[in-house]
Amino acid sequence: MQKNKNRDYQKDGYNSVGMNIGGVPMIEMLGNRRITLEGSTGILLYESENIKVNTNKMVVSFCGRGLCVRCISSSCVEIEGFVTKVEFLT
Amino acid sequence: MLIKIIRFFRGYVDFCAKGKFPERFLNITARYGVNLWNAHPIENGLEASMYISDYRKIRIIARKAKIKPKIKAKHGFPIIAFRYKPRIGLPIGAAAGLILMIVLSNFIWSVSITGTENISEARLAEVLAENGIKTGAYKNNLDVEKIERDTTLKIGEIGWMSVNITGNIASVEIKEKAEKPELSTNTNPCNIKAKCDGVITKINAKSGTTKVLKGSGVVKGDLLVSGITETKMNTIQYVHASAEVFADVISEKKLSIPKEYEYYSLTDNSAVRTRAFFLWTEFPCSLSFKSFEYSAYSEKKENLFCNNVVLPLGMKTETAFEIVKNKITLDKNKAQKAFENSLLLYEAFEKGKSQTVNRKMSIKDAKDEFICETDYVFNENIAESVDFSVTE
Repeated sequence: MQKNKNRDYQKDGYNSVGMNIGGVPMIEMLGNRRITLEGSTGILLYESENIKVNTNKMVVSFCGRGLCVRCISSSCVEIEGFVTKVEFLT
Repeated sequence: MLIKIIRFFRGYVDFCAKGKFPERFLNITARYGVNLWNAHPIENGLEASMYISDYRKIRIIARKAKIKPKIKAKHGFPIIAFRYKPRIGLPIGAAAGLILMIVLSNFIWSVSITGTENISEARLAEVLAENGIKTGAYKNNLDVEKIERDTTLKIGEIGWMSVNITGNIASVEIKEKAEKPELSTNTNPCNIKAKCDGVITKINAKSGTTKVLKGSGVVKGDLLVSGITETKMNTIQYVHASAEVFADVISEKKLSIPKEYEYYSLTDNSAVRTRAFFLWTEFPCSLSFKSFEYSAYSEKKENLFCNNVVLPLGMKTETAFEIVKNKITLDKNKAQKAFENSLLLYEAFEKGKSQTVNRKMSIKDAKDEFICETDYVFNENIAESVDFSVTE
Protein backbone atom coordinates (compact mmCIF):
# COMPACT_ATOMS: atom_id res chain seq x y z
CA MET A 1 0.00 0.00 0.00
CA GLN A 2 2.83 2.33 1.05
CA LYS A 3 4.69 1.49 -2.19
CA ASN A 4 1.74 2.45 -4.34
CA LYS A 5 1.49 5.75 -2.49
CA ASN A 6 5.18 6.55 -3.24
CA ARG A 7 4.61 5.78 -6.91
CA ASP A 8 1.76 8.28 -7.03
CA TYR A 9 3.97 10.95 -5.50
CA GLN A 10 6.64 10.40 -8.16
CA LYS A 11 4.05 10.59 -10.95
CA ASP A 12 2.88 13.95 -9.69
CA GLY A 13 6.38 15.40 -9.38
CA TYR A 14 6.97 14.58 -5.72
CA ASN A 15 10.36 13.38 -4.55
CA SER A 16 11.10 10.62 -2.02
CA VAL A 17 10.61 12.99 0.96
CA GLY A 18 7.26 14.01 -0.35
CA MET A 19 8.10 17.44 -1.78
CA ASN A 20 6.63 18.57 -5.05
CA ILE A 21 9.61 19.34 -7.41
CA GLY A 22 7.74 19.75 -10.69
CA GLY A 23 9.42 22.49 -12.80
CA VAL A 24 11.73 23.60 -10.00
CA PRO A 25 15.45 23.69 -10.82
CA MET A 26 17.82 21.55 -8.81
CA ILE A 27 20.96 23.40 -7.80
CA GLU A 28 24.04 21.61 -6.53
CA MET A 29 26.88 23.73 -5.14
CA LEU A 30 30.44 22.71 -4.48
CA GLY A 31 31.38 25.40 -2.00
CA ASN A 32 31.11 28.68 -3.85
CA ARG A 33 33.36 27.52 -6.72
CA ARG A 34 31.19 25.27 -8.79
CA ILE A 35 27.44 25.13 -9.37
CA THR A 36 25.47 22.53 -11.26
CA LEU A 37 21.98 23.55 -12.23
CA GLU A 38 19.50 21.00 -13.57
CA GLY A 39 16.26 22.10 -15.18
CA SER A 40 17.64 25.00 -17.22
CA THR A 41 15.76 26.22 -20.28
CA GLY A 42 18.43 28.68 -21.46
CA ILE A 43 20.97 31.30 -20.48
CA LEU A 44 19.69 34.84 -20.35
CA LEU A 45 22.86 36.70 -19.43
CA TYR A 46 26.43 35.62 -19.77
CA GLU A 47 29.05 37.89 -18.23
CA SER A 48 32.07 37.15 -16.10
CA GLU A 49 30.43 38.86 -13.11
CA ASN A 50 26.87 37.69 -13.62
CA ILE A 51 25.21 34.68 -15.20
CA LYS A 52 21.45 34.43 -15.38
CA VAL A 53 19.90 31.03 -16.11
CA ASN A 54 16.25 30.67 -17.05
CA THR A 55 14.24 27.79 -15.65
CA ASN A 56 10.56 26.86 -15.89
CA LYS A 57 9.40 28.82 -12.88
CA MET A 58 12.11 31.36 -12.14
CA VAL A 59 15.34 32.97 -13.25
CA VAL A 60 18.41 32.06 -11.21
CA SER A 61 21.09 34.74 -11.11
CA PHE A 62 24.66 33.95 -10.04
CA CYS A 63 26.91 36.88 -9.17
CA GLY A 64 30.63 36.66 -8.55
CA ARG A 65 34.05 36.96 -10.19
CA GLY A 66 35.47 35.06 -13.17
CA LEU A 67 32.28 33.14 -13.79
CA CYS A 68 32.16 30.90 -16.82
CA VAL A 69 30.07 28.04 -18.15
CA ARG A 70 32.11 24.90 -17.84
CA CYS A 71 29.61 22.63 -19.54
CA ILE A 72 26.18 23.10 -21.02
CA SER A 73 23.48 20.73 -22.29
CA SER A 74 19.78 21.11 -23.07
CA SER A 75 18.73 20.92 -19.40
CA CYS A 76 21.91 21.24 -17.37
CA VAL A 77 24.43 24.03 -16.84
CA GLU A 78 27.66 23.84 -14.90
CA ILE A 79 29.08 27.16 -13.78
CA GLU A 80 32.56 27.67 -12.44
CA GLY A 81 34.06 30.70 -10.73
CA PHE A 82 33.96 32.59 -7.48
CA VAL A 83 30.25 32.91 -6.59
CA THR A 84 29.34 35.64 -4.17
CA LYS A 85 25.58 35.81 -4.55
CA VAL A 86 22.71 33.64 -5.78
CA GLU A 87 19.40 35.31 -6.57
CA PHE A 88 16.06 33.81 -7.49
CA LEU A 89 14.03 36.17 -9.68
CA THR A 90 10.41 35.27 -10.15
CA MET B 1 43.99 12.74 -20.35
CA LEU B 2 41.69 10.43 -22.27
CA ILE B 3 39.44 13.35 -23.12
CA LYS B 4 42.46 15.29 -24.38
CA ILE B 5 43.44 12.36 -26.62
CA ILE B 6 39.89 12.07 -27.99
CA ARG B 7 39.80 15.82 -28.62
CA PHE B 8 43.17 15.66 -30.39
CA PHE B 9 42.07 12.89 -32.75
CA ARG B 10 38.67 14.44 -33.48
CA GLY B 11 40.17 17.91 -33.91
CA TYR B 12 38.85 21.06 -32.27
CA VAL B 13 38.77 24.82 -32.74
CA ASP B 14 39.18 27.74 -30.38
CA PHE B 15 36.75 30.42 -31.46
CA CYS B 16 35.12 33.62 -30.36
CA ALA B 17 31.43 34.29 -30.95
CA LYS B 18 30.52 37.97 -31.05
CA GLY B 19 27.09 39.56 -31.16
CA LYS B 20 24.60 41.47 -29.06
CA PHE B 21 23.51 38.41 -27.14
CA PRO B 22 26.32 35.88 -26.82
CA GLU B 23 24.29 33.82 -24.37
CA ARG B 24 22.05 32.94 -27.30
CA PHE B 25 24.97 31.07 -28.75
CA LEU B 26 25.21 28.97 -25.61
CA ASN B 27 21.52 28.18 -25.82
CA ILE B 28 21.87 27.14 -29.46
CA THR B 29 24.70 24.77 -28.68
CA ALA B 30 22.72 23.32 -25.78
CA ARG B 31 19.68 22.83 -28.00
CA TYR B 32 21.66 21.03 -30.68
CA GLY B 33 23.51 18.87 -28.15
CA VAL B 34 26.88 20.33 -29.06
CA ASN B 35 29.73 19.83 -26.64
CA LEU B 36 31.37 23.11 -25.65
CA TRP B 37 34.26 23.73 -23.29
CA ASN B 38 36.54 26.52 -22.04
CA ALA B 39 33.72 29.02 -22.47
CA HIS B 40 34.83 32.44 -21.20
CA PRO B 41 32.78 35.61 -21.51
CA ILE B 42 34.50 38.52 -23.26
CA GLU B 43 33.25 41.92 -24.26
CA ASN B 44 30.21 41.48 -26.55
CA GLY B 45 30.71 37.80 -26.84
CA LEU B 46 32.42 34.70 -25.58
CA GLU B 47 35.40 32.51 -26.28
CA ALA B 48 35.16 28.73 -26.28
CA SER B 49 36.37 25.50 -27.84
CA MET B 50 34.39 22.99 -29.87
CA TYR B 51 34.92 19.93 -32.07
CA ILE B 52 35.48 20.81 -35.73
CA SER B 53 32.49 18.71 -36.85
CA ASP B 54 30.22 20.49 -34.34
CA TYR B 55 31.56 23.89 -35.37
CA ARG B 56 30.61 23.26 -39.01
CA LYS B 57 27.11 22.28 -37.89
CA ILE B 58 26.58 25.22 -35.54
CA ARG B 59 28.13 27.98 -37.68
CA ILE B 60 25.16 28.57 -40.00
CA ILE B 61 22.59 28.45 -37.21
CA ALA B 62 24.63 30.87 -35.12
CA ARG B 63 24.72 33.37 -37.97
CA LYS B 64 20.96 33.21 -38.19
CA ALA B 65 20.88 34.15 -34.49
CA LYS B 66 23.02 37.20 -35.39
CA ILE B 67 26.12 35.87 -33.73
CA LYS B 68 29.38 35.78 -35.67
CA PRO B 69 31.62 32.93 -34.70
CA LYS B 70 35.27 33.34 -35.69
CA ILE B 71 37.98 30.71 -35.44
CA LYS B 72 41.02 31.75 -33.41
CA ALA B 73 43.02 28.54 -33.58
CA LYS B 74 42.71 25.00 -34.89
CA HIS B 75 44.08 21.98 -33.12
CA GLY B 76 44.22 18.18 -33.53
CA PHE B 77 45.14 15.45 -35.93
CA PRO B 78 42.72 16.35 -38.80
CA ILE B 79 44.29 19.83 -38.92
CA ILE B 80 47.83 18.41 -39.06
CA ALA B 81 46.77 15.88 -41.71
CA PHE B 82 45.19 18.67 -43.76
CA ARG B 83 48.26 20.88 -43.37
CA TYR B 84 50.54 18.14 -44.71
CA LYS B 85 48.17 17.04 -47.47
CA PRO B 86 50.39 18.49 -50.24
CA ARG B 87 53.35 16.58 -48.74
CA ILE B 88 51.70 13.20 -49.17
CA GLY B 89 55.08 11.55 -49.51
CA LEU B 90 55.85 12.31 -45.89
CA PRO B 91 53.14 10.13 -44.33
CA ILE B 92 53.64 7.50 -47.02
CA GLY B 93 57.34 7.42 -46.21
CA ALA B 94 56.60 7.24 -42.50
CA ALA B 95 54.15 4.39 -43.05
CA ALA B 96 56.61 2.59 -45.35
CA GLY B 97 59.35 3.04 -42.75
CA LEU B 98 57.10 1.63 -40.07
CA ILE B 99 56.14 -1.36 -42.21
CA LEU B 100 59.79 -1.93 -43.13
CA MET B 101 60.74 -1.82 -39.46
CA ILE B 102 58.03 -4.33 -38.55
CA VAL B 103 58.97 -6.64 -41.42
CA LEU B 104 62.72 -6.46 -40.80
CA SER B 105 62.30 -7.10 -37.10
CA ASN B 106 61.18 -10.63 -38.03
CA PHE B 107 64.55 -11.56 -39.50
CA ILE B 108 67.97 -12.32 -38.07
CA TRP B 109 70.36 -9.49 -38.81
CA SER B 110 73.57 -11.01 -37.56
CA VAL B 111 74.95 -14.12 -35.90
CA SER B 112 77.60 -13.81 -33.21
CA ILE B 113 79.55 -16.83 -32.04
CA THR B 114 81.45 -16.93 -28.76
CA GLY B 115 83.35 -19.58 -26.86
CA THR B 116 85.22 -21.28 -29.70
CA GLU B 117 88.77 -22.36 -28.97
CA ASN B 118 89.56 -25.31 -31.22
CA ILE B 119 86.38 -25.49 -33.28
CA SER B 120 86.48 -23.46 -36.50
CA GLU B 121 84.00 -20.58 -36.39
CA ALA B 122 83.47 -20.89 -40.16
CA ARG B 123 82.51 -24.56 -39.78
CA LEU B 124 80.20 -23.78 -36.90
CA ALA B 125 78.59 -20.95 -38.89
CA GLU B 126 78.12 -23.35 -41.82
CA VAL B 127 76.39 -25.98 -39.64
CA LEU B 128 74.24 -23.30 -38.00
CA ALA B 129 73.26 -22.00 -41.45
CA GLU B 130 72.24 -25.55 -42.47
CA ASN B 131 70.02 -25.67 -39.41
CA GLY B 132 68.49 -22.25 -40.07
CA ILE B 133 70.56 -19.77 -38.04
CA LYS B 134 71.94 -17.39 -40.64
CA THR B 135 71.68 -13.74 -41.61
CA GLY B 136 68.31 -13.09 -43.21
CA ALA B 137 66.56 -16.13 -41.70
CA TYR B 138 62.94 -15.70 -40.58
CA LYS B 139 63.33 -15.93 -36.84
CA ASN B 140 59.75 -16.77 -35.84
CA ASN B 141 59.93 -20.27 -37.33
CA LEU B 142 63.17 -21.27 -35.64
CA ASP B 143 63.10 -24.14 -33.20
CA VAL B 144 66.07 -23.16 -31.08
CA GLU B 145 66.18 -26.34 -29.01
CA LYS B 146 66.24 -28.53 -32.12
CA ILE B 147 68.96 -26.38 -33.68
CA GLU B 148 71.07 -26.68 -30.53
CA ARG B 149 70.57 -30.46 -30.47
CA ASP B 150 71.34 -30.96 -34.17
CA THR B 151 74.41 -28.74 -34.11
CA THR B 152 75.80 -30.47 -31.02
CA LEU B 153 75.29 -33.85 -32.70
CA LYS B 154 76.89 -32.70 -35.95
CA ILE B 155 79.95 -31.16 -34.31
CA GLY B 156 81.11 -33.68 -31.76
CA GLU B 157 83.56 -31.33 -30.09
CA ILE B 158 80.77 -29.18 -28.67
CA GLY B 159 80.05 -29.98 -25.06
CA TRP B 160 77.28 -27.42 -24.50
CA MET B 161 75.73 -24.76 -26.64
CA SER B 162 73.04 -22.12 -26.34
CA VAL B 163 71.35 -20.11 -29.07
CA ASN B 164 69.77 -16.88 -27.87
CA ILE B 165 67.76 -14.79 -30.29
CA THR B 166 67.59 -11.31 -28.81
CA GLY B 167 65.84 -8.85 -31.06
CA ASN B 168 67.48 -9.39 -34.42
CA ILE B 169 70.74 -10.81 -33.20
CA ALA B 170 71.36 -14.52 -32.77
CA SER B 171 74.03 -15.07 -30.12
CA VAL B 172 75.54 -18.53 -30.17
CA GLU B 173 77.49 -19.45 -27.09
CA ILE B 174 79.37 -22.72 -27.00
CA LYS B 175 81.54 -24.63 -24.57
CA GLU B 176 83.89 -27.16 -26.04
CA LYS B 177 84.26 -30.67 -24.64
CA ALA B 178 87.17 -31.18 -22.28
CA GLU B 179 89.44 -33.93 -23.61
CA LYS B 180 89.68 -37.05 -21.54
CA PRO B 181 93.15 -37.50 -20.06
CA GLU B 182 94.80 -40.77 -21.06
CA LEU B 183 95.02 -42.93 -18.01
CA SER B 184 97.11 -46.05 -18.02
CA THR B 185 95.00 -48.67 -16.40
CA ASN B 186 96.95 -51.59 -17.76
CA THR B 187 98.63 -53.40 -14.86
CA ASN B 188 99.23 -56.73 -16.61
CA PRO B 189 102.78 -58.04 -16.22
CA CYS B 190 104.89 -57.15 -19.22
CA ASN B 191 108.47 -56.85 -20.46
CA ILE B 192 110.12 -53.98 -22.27
CA LYS B 193 111.69 -55.07 -25.52
CA ALA B 194 113.57 -53.24 -28.27
CA LYS B 195 111.41 -52.25 -31.20
CA CYS B 196 114.46 -51.77 -33.46
CA ASP B 197 118.27 -52.26 -33.58
CA GLY B 198 120.47 -49.70 -31.86
CA VAL B 199 123.09 -48.77 -29.28
CA ILE B 200 121.74 -47.86 -25.83
CA THR B 201 122.55 -44.33 -24.70
CA LYS B 202 120.17 -43.76 -21.76
CA ILE B 203 117.86 -45.89 -19.59
CA ASN B 204 115.04 -44.52 -17.42
CA ALA B 205 113.47 -47.56 -15.76
CA LYS B 206 110.49 -46.92 -13.49
CA SER B 207 109.61 -50.53 -12.71
CA GLY B 208 111.07 -53.90 -13.63
CA THR B 209 114.60 -55.25 -13.78
CA THR B 210 116.98 -53.63 -16.30
CA LYS B 211 118.73 -56.25 -18.43
CA VAL B 212 120.93 -53.99 -20.59
CA LEU B 213 123.55 -51.35 -19.88
CA LYS B 214 124.38 -48.01 -21.44
CA GLY B 215 126.54 -48.66 -24.54
CA SER B 216 125.08 -52.11 -25.17
CA GLY B 217 124.09 -52.97 -28.70
CA VAL B 218 120.63 -54.47 -29.07
CA VAL B 219 118.68 -55.96 -31.92
CA LYS B 220 114.94 -55.83 -32.48
CA GLY B 221 113.08 -57.95 -29.92
CA ASP B 222 115.88 -58.03 -27.31
CA LEU B 223 114.71 -57.87 -23.70
CA LEU B 224 115.58 -54.50 -22.24
CA VAL B 225 113.65 -54.39 -18.96
CA SER B 226 112.18 -57.55 -17.47
CA GLY B 227 108.78 -57.70 -15.79
CA ILE B 228 110.00 -60.52 -13.49
CA THR B 229 111.58 -59.21 -10.32
CA GLU B 230 112.92 -60.93 -7.23
CA THR B 231 111.61 -59.93 -3.80
CA LYS B 232 113.55 -59.74 -0.55
CA MET B 233 112.05 -63.10 0.39
CA ASN B 234 113.71 -64.66 -2.72
CA THR B 235 110.35 -65.14 -4.39
CA ILE B 236 109.43 -64.09 -7.92
CA GLN B 237 107.11 -61.16 -8.56
CA TYR B 238 105.55 -60.27 -11.89
CA VAL B 239 105.29 -56.54 -12.52
CA HIS B 240 104.18 -54.21 -15.26
CA ALA B 241 107.59 -53.02 -16.49
CA SER B 242 107.81 -49.38 -17.42
CA ALA B 243 110.89 -47.69 -18.86
CA GLU B 244 112.24 -45.32 -21.47
CA VAL B 245 115.28 -46.70 -23.28
CA PHE B 246 117.02 -44.33 -25.65
CA ALA B 247 119.33 -45.67 -28.32
CA ASP B 248 121.15 -44.48 -31.42
CA VAL B 249 119.27 -46.03 -34.30
CA ILE B 250 120.43 -46.18 -37.88
CA SER B 251 117.76 -45.58 -40.53
CA GLU B 252 117.55 -44.80 -44.21
CA LYS B 253 115.33 -42.40 -46.11
CA LYS B 254 114.99 -42.51 -49.87
CA LEU B 255 113.47 -39.58 -51.77
CA SER B 256 113.08 -38.91 -55.47
CA ILE B 257 112.15 -35.86 -57.49
CA PRO B 258 111.54 -35.66 -61.28
CA LYS B 259 113.90 -33.51 -63.33
CA GLU B 260 111.02 -31.76 -65.01
CA TYR B 261 107.65 -31.12 -63.41
CA GLU B 262 104.77 -28.67 -63.47
CA TYR B 263 103.15 -26.78 -60.66
CA TYR B 264 100.63 -23.99 -60.17
CA SER B 265 101.58 -20.69 -58.54
CA LEU B 266 99.94 -17.35 -57.79
CA THR B 267 100.93 -14.27 -59.75
CA ASP B 268 100.61 -10.61 -58.81
CA ASN B 269 97.55 -10.20 -61.04
CA SER B 270 94.27 -9.93 -59.20
CA ALA B 271 90.73 -8.70 -59.84
CA VAL B 272 88.75 -7.06 -57.03
CA ARG B 273 84.96 -7.03 -57.09
CA THR B 274 82.89 -5.33 -54.39
CA ARG B 275 79.24 -5.96 -53.67
CA ALA B 276 76.90 -4.33 -51.21
CA PHE B 277 74.62 -6.70 -49.37
CA PHE B 278 71.41 -6.26 -47.45
CA LEU B 279 70.10 -9.33 -45.64
CA TRP B 280 70.10 -11.98 -48.39
CA THR B 281 70.30 -9.64 -51.39
CA GLU B 282 73.48 -8.41 -53.03
CA PHE B 283 74.14 -5.56 -55.44
CA PRO B 284 77.35 -5.16 -57.47
CA CYS B 285 79.22 -1.95 -56.66
CA SER B 286 82.24 -2.18 -58.92
CA LEU B 287 83.00 -3.22 -62.45
CA SER B 288 85.85 -5.56 -63.21
CA PHE B 289 86.23 -7.17 -66.60
CA LYS B 290 89.37 -9.09 -65.75
CA SER B 291 89.05 -12.84 -65.91
CA PHE B 292 91.63 -15.54 -65.49
CA GLU B 293 91.81 -19.09 -66.79
CA TYR B 294 92.77 -20.40 -63.37
CA SER B 295 92.18 -18.38 -60.26
CA ALA B 296 91.84 -18.61 -56.50
CA TYR B 297 89.28 -16.58 -54.61
CA SER B 298 89.23 -14.88 -51.27
CA GLU B 299 86.18 -13.16 -49.82
CA LYS B 300 86.06 -10.47 -47.13
CA LYS B 301 82.79 -9.45 -45.52
CA GLU B 302 82.40 -6.21 -43.58
CA ASN B 303 79.16 -5.44 -41.77
CA LEU B 304 78.00 -1.98 -40.78
CA PHE B 305 77.90 -1.32 -37.05
CA CYS B 306 75.61 1.09 -35.22
CA ASN B 307 75.93 1.43 -31.45
CA ASN B 308 77.77 -1.91 -31.27
CA VAL B 309 74.89 -3.57 -33.11
CA VAL B 310 75.76 -5.44 -36.28
CA LEU B 311 73.45 -4.31 -39.06
CA PRO B 312 72.43 -6.68 -41.87
CA LEU B 313 74.09 -4.50 -44.49
CA GLY B 314 77.66 -4.00 -45.53
CA MET B 315 80.20 -4.72 -48.23
CA LYS B 316 81.64 -7.94 -49.60
CA THR B 317 84.99 -7.78 -51.34
CA GLU B 318 85.90 -10.70 -53.55
CA THR B 319 89.45 -10.91 -54.83
CA ALA B 320 90.41 -13.30 -57.61
CA PHE B 321 94.12 -14.13 -57.80
CA GLU B 322 95.52 -15.45 -61.04
CA ILE B 323 97.04 -18.90 -60.99
CA VAL B 324 99.50 -19.93 -63.68
CA LYS B 325 101.07 -23.22 -64.59
CA ASN B 326 104.86 -23.25 -64.24
CA LYS B 327 107.23 -25.76 -65.77
CA ILE B 328 110.39 -26.38 -63.76
CA THR B 329 113.58 -28.06 -64.89
CA LEU B 330 115.86 -29.03 -62.02
CA ASP B 331 119.61 -29.23 -61.96
CA LYS B 332 121.55 -31.05 -59.26
CA ASN B 333 121.97 -27.98 -56.99
CA LYS B 334 118.28 -27.14 -57.10
CA ALA B 335 117.42 -30.77 -56.47
CA GLN B 336 119.74 -30.82 -53.45
CA LYS B 337 117.95 -27.79 -52.01
CA ALA B 338 114.56 -29.40 -52.60
CA PHE B 339 115.76 -32.63 -50.95
CA GLU B 340 117.13 -30.71 -47.96
CA ASN B 341 113.78 -29.04 -47.49
CA SER B 342 111.95 -32.34 -47.77
CA LEU B 343 114.30 -33.95 -45.24
CA LEU B 344 113.78 -31.08 -42.79
CA LEU B 345 110.05 -31.66 -43.07
CA TYR B 346 110.57 -35.41 -42.57
CA GLU B 347 112.66 -34.78 -39.41
CA ALA B 348 110.20 -32.27 -38.04
CA PHE B 349 106.96 -34.18 -38.62
CA GLU B 350 107.71 -37.88 -38.99
CA LYS B 351 110.58 -38.04 -36.51
CA GLY B 352 109.44 -35.26 -34.21
CA LYS B 353 110.17 -37.23 -31.02
CA SER B 354 113.63 -38.30 -32.17
CA GLN B 355 116.83 -36.36 -32.05
CA THR B 356 118.95 -36.33 -35.20
CA VAL B 357 122.52 -37.41 -34.35
CA ASN B 358 123.93 -37.74 -37.84
CA ARG B 359 122.72 -37.32 -41.40
CA LYS B 360 124.54 -38.30 -44.59
CA MET B 361 122.96 -37.39 -47.88
CA SER B 362 123.92 -38.72 -51.32
CA ILE B 363 122.19 -37.61 -54.52
CA LYS B 364 122.15 -39.80 -57.61
CA ASP B 365 121.28 -38.67 -61.10
CA ALA B 366 118.93 -41.23 -62.68
CA LYS B 367 117.34 -41.10 -66.11
CA ASP B 368 114.33 -38.82 -65.43
CA GLU B 369 114.75 -38.06 -61.80
CA PHE B 370 117.12 -37.29 -58.99
CA ILE B 371 117.27 -39.83 -56.17
CA CYS B 372 118.40 -38.91 -52.69
CA GLU B 373 119.49 -41.63 -50.27
CA THR B 374 120.03 -40.40 -46.73
CA ASP B 375 121.59 -42.37 -43.89
CA TYR B 376 120.33 -41.15 -40.53
CA VAL B 377 121.36 -41.80 -36.97
CA PHE B 378 118.47 -40.90 -34.67
CA ASN B 379 118.51 -41.00 -30.90
CA GLU B 380 115.06 -42.27 -29.93
CA ASN B 381 113.08 -44.29 -27.45
CA ILE B 382 113.12 -47.92 -28.57
CA ALA B 383 111.19 -49.33 -25.60
CA GLU B 384 108.13 -51.42 -26.46
CA SER B 385 105.84 -53.10 -23.92
CA VAL B 386 105.20 -56.78 -24.58
CA ASP B 387 102.74 -58.58 -22.30
CA PHE B 388 103.43 -62.07 -21.13
CA SER B 389 101.08 -64.56 -19.58
CA VAL B 390 101.71 -66.17 -16.25
CA THR B 391 100.44 -69.71 -15.64
CA GLU B 392 100.83 -71.17 -12.17
